[in-house]
Amino acid sequence: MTTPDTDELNGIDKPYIPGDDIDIPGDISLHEETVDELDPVTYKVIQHRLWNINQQHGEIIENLAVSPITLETRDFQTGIQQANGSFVYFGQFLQYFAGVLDLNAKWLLEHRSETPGIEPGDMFLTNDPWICAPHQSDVTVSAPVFHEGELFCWVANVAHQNDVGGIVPGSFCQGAEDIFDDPTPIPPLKIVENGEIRDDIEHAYRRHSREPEQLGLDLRAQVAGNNHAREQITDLIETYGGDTVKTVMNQITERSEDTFSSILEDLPDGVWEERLYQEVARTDDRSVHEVRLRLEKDGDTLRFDNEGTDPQAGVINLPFAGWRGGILSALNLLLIPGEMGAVGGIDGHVELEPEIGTLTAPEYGAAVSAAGMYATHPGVSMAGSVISKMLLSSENEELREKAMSWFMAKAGMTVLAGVNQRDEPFIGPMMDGMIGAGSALPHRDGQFANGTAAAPEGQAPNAEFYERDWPILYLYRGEQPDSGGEGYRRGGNNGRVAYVQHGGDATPGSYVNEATPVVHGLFGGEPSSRVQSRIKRDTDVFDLFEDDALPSDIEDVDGDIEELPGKGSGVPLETDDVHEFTWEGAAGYGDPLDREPERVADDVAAGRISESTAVETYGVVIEDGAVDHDATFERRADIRHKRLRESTADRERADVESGSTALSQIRDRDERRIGDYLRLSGADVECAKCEQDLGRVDENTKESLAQRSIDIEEIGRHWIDTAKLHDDPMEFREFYCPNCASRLTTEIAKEGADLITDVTLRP
Amino acid sequence: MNTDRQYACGVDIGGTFTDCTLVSQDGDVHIGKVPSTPSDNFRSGFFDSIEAAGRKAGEEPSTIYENLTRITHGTTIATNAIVEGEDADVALLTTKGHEDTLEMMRGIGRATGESPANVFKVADVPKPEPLLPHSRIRGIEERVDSDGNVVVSLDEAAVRDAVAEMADAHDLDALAVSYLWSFQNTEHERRTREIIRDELGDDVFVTLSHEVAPSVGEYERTTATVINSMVGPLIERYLGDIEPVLRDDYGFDGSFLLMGCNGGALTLGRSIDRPIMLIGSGPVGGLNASQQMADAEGMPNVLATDMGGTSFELGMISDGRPLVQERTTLRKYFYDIPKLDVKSIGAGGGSIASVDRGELDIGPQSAGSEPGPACYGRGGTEPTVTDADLLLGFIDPDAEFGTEALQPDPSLAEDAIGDVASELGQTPIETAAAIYQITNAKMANLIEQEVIGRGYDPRDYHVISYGGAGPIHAAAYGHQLDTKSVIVPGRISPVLSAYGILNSDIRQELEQQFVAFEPFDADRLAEAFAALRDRGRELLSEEGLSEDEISFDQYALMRFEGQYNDLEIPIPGSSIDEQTTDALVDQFKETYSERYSSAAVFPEARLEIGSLRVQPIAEVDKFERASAPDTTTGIPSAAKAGTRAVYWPSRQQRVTTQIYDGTAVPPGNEIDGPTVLDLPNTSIVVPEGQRIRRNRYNDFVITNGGN
Repeated sequence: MTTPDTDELNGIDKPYIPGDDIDIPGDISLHEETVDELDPVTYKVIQHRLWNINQQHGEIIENLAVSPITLETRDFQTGIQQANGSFVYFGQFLQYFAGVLDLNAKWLLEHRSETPGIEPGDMFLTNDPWICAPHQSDVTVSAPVFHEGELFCWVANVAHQNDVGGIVPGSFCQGAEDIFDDPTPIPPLKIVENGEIRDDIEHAYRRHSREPEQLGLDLRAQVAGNNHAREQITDLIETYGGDTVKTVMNQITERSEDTFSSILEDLPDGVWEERLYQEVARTDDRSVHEVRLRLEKDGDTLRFDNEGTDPQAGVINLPFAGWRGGILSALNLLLIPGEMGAVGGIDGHVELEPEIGTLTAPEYGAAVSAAGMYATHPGVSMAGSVISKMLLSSENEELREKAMSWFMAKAGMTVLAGVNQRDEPFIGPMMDGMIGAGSALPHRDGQFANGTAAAPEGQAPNAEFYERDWPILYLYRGEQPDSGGEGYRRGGNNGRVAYVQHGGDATPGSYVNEATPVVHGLFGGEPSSRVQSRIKRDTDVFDLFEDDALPSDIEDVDGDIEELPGKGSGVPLETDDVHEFTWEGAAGYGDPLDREPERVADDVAAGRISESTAVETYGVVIEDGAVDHDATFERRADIRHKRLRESTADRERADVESGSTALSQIRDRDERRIGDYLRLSGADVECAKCEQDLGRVDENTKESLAQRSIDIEEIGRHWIDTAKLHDDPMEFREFYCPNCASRLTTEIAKEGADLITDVTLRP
Repeated sequence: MNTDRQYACGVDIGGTFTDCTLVSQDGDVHIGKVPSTPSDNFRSGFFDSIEAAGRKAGEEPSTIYENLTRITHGTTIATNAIVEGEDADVALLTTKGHEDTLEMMRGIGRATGESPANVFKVADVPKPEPLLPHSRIRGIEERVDSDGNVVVSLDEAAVRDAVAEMADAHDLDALAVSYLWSFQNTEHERRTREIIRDELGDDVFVTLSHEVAPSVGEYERTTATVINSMVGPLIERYLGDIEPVLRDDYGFDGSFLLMGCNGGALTLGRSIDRPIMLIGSGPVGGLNASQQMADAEGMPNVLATDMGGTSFELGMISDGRPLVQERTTLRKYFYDIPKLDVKSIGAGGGSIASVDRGELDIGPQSAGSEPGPACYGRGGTEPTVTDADLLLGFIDPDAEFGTEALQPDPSLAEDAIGDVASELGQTPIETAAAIYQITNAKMANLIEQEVIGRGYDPRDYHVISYGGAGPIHAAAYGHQLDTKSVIVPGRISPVLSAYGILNSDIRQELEQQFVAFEPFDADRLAEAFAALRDRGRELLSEEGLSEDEISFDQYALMRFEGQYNDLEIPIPGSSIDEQTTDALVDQFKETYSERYSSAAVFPEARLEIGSLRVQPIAEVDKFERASAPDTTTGIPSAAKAGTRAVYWPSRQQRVTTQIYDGTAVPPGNEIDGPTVLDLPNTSIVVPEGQRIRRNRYNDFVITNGGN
């Protein structure tokens, strides 16, 4: 862990982190001329055209690509970039690729402009995680666009490949010791020269894969997409002139920057933190590893660092490009979605200061191919979390309402490998997790099956698609009750699927199975559910079929449950075995005791939560489908007293009357608040319900709160004892107002760990 | 053919008007336009329109029906019922363990059908209301695998219980049955229908998924099944109101057909069983009319553009065939039933111009017909595209528009545009020009996105422009895209859609999953196509068509192994041998390379056929409009309608411009731009450098050239 000289951040041994000004050797000249005046009609026409060109680029990839992940989850991205690599537009496909394409262009300019040179008609292919790839499966192809001998701009795409080698089919190498067990990274190679794919380079590329034909087809999709975008931009330049088009490109970025700046003006200066624990760095590891993200806002600058993050380890590392992409994409989605992907406007206001050699900025040598399962999504979710806390600290009501709890910090996927019903080898990534879940917003519940934020246009497969292509038979696929993060506003439930082999051999080559919560509730809400994977062995499922019974719950079949180890690979599946896995729900927002009892009753009636969750977590008593209000009041009061009794508070009876203040009343008040629970009076913080003094705004409020810690399995029905998967003791920390016992915030921590700071503001 | 019968007609019911186009065997076209009658389920409007057109042809209500050989009917009531949520009470039976298929929406419910900007708004934009609540969905124990083998037999008792329970709890109009892989083995669904009939009798409408959408993908199939049941009872009632009256009370014994969303006509029985085929059939009439105009002029490639009050719609005809889309989106749910591909954006005459952070935006908000553009003085104050067109001089300020004979007031238009202009620091006329140009650019963009995005070149296409606002803008976007010509229909334009449907052939869609990899087995392919043709023959003969009336179009849906998107490759002729399969491979590669460039072709990749499609077709007798010979007498003075000061955006100033009465220009004459031809309810704008000619069908053709 060092803070290196910037010269070392060149994508060789350390990640590539370009400086503000890139150093371009050789005689390549960048087109920078603009026109002084641009009429609004021309601006609008060219702006629409550029957006369209990038859209069409994406459609070509959808039409031609073959990698199942690329197609279903829209795990690809297209972009138009300035000559210096900065984004003009990127598409509504997988968002964390916001950190990829621009890095590649900048690196190429710094390292390839002399040899082999960057010429018209060239394209460069790379999947090097130390340059721009979140992991090796994400293959980028970048194409320079020239105009009158000058480099005018770039068009580029990145698309997830089904297999690029490594020790596990599908290339999420959970058992890798280091980069040499991983797919070998490919630094940028000139794959297309003078308009033609270079056979020598392509052959070398395809040698990386168990499915070389898929690489060949996807490569052509990527080349065809770039060709199309390049031709269209060339046409545009011919029609309007290069200087005019360049002016529009600049203005798109400037306008998005203006929007971003005006939002920053409405946000207070301060610091917001998030922490999660990656458990089981590789198969034989039984510990947790801390990942931290800190956001500091200082005027018109947002500074992100990862101070306190543990050293790189095992297969849980997130290459810098992925970490950066997570941050940029969360900023884009939460702050400037109306700019339609003009993320170039963010760049100048964001400073990234990672400590190198850590889990979120590993040095060369670390295994990173499994990042797509374990690390890229936490990158987005942690960024989403600190940004949401920042939004909730704003005085601007509109911005506060944009905050959202997060979800999908782990890909709820299984990669099958084996022999299909046509006796051919196959690699089958089951992307059912893309069905997703919806975040809780301060004003709205999250919904089951609301997709994923990180891939806004991602979609999940039909069960029939997978049964057609792979030798499996689904038993069920649907919502899992009680799985969303509970809270004043609930996170959406997750789903679960189970299947048996059918007509061939299908083995879960990669899967996710975890015990530690990784997406935390927002301001008093509960964490989102974990990704779980388990196998029931030697079941009677085929006897049941014979008897015309169709099990729709793993409990319906007899057999022996096998909890799978974390980061295990290649679990053999026998004919009679049932494999069930889940994806993640979304975290909750606010204290569940503040949820309107009628909503809880509706949740029970709709089967979203069980009656026991209604009583235990929400304190709502339901009789014959209706809320018993008196009993509910009593129950909630008891819970409040219990909270203080079992916490560090020095009183045993809560101020129930103040604690019962409806959150809607507080939300209607015209007062300066952080979230809905903390009221600011100058530099002093108090409980918005009972006016209890909670310290100063520039201190960690948690120090003033009553704290109670419980075991992870006590959080809710689907949590398990973390000791099943690792040896580090974990706890769920709840922080209450020491007077009215409202739960103001929560955290997941390793026992003995320090408290993280949700928010401190500059007074 | 019985010689007493002299006419065919198309009847098109819209929200405001019901149109009838009546064509005689000699090609005389007669038009009936009457108010629609939602109060009696559109029934009297239907008959009134036929009688109105009949009177113009000199037929009394007592004779017109007997002299009709065919009525083809287009209706939007199925579409409207779904869009407005006035659909039937439906329950769904599905495979146990998969009850959440609809609700899951494949995880893309939030983004489906949203604009790009909204797609990014992951927090603000929610999923839609569920198509069916949980309480209306029951899982049934039964399971079939992908090859059609029964894994778990149908639990008949469970079906019986579920049906009885649902019928008790809800006032059900219809049931939908959608089991996994039902199209590979139809037994469980068919048996379920029998049980439903046992329990509930014949009054309840039942849809089986394998009958309505027999293709892989349970989400799309279930959506189609449920939607079919949601509109089924309504369509059954509606057609039950009309057809017996036609037959029994009016003595009509010709064929009665309905316009389907795939561009083909449907028989009555098929329309009642598969009413989902009527959804989205609204734009088909205009597209079919465009195709007929294109056929008559020998143009294989046409962009059919319809610019109305709120939207701009685009359909494409390539190589003489309208483009079909596989997917339909309704209430953010989607299903896969082939339908003519019509794309729409919010750019119509009523689209509102606004300023957002110094940028001028047009639409998608629209002033619609209420209050309408500001210039009509009906309470609209926001500037619209029509206001800009009026201010520029493209619309005759002295003309009367619409049924209420409204006269547009340029001063109201100027006031409305003035506010936006001052925000932009422009004069109102400059802003009007900007509104005009940005609107044109938006339409050009959509066309470009669709045409180029599919690998076609707009320069190979003719534009056909209709709809109230279309001809004002078409020459401009046609020019921007460098299309071959822009055609504006003449006399038939007020009832273009009704005209378009009247000659539609009966065409149905049959599709079958067929997994095969290169090299293809010709015998197996031949066998599968023969079976599909047999099914097609059976279907149409059930509808009373004889075998020699039926022909077939057949296609293989092909891709490189692993791709999701197919290319539809036609297979001519009924005999299929190795030569056919070789030709199929060549044809695929040629089409692929044309569409996606030769750089996209990867010789080592394996080809795959995913499914086969057969369209049984029964051609109807065509009633074609007559053409007039070109005149040689030149443009009569009556056609010259004086001059107007028109602001031409390319010159950035007002120019005194000769105006023509378009209706008075005889066929064969040409006029050079810049000029404006006024027409009833619209006008044709011909900028400088373009030229307009009236052709033998009385349509207008704009090409490059002239001054």
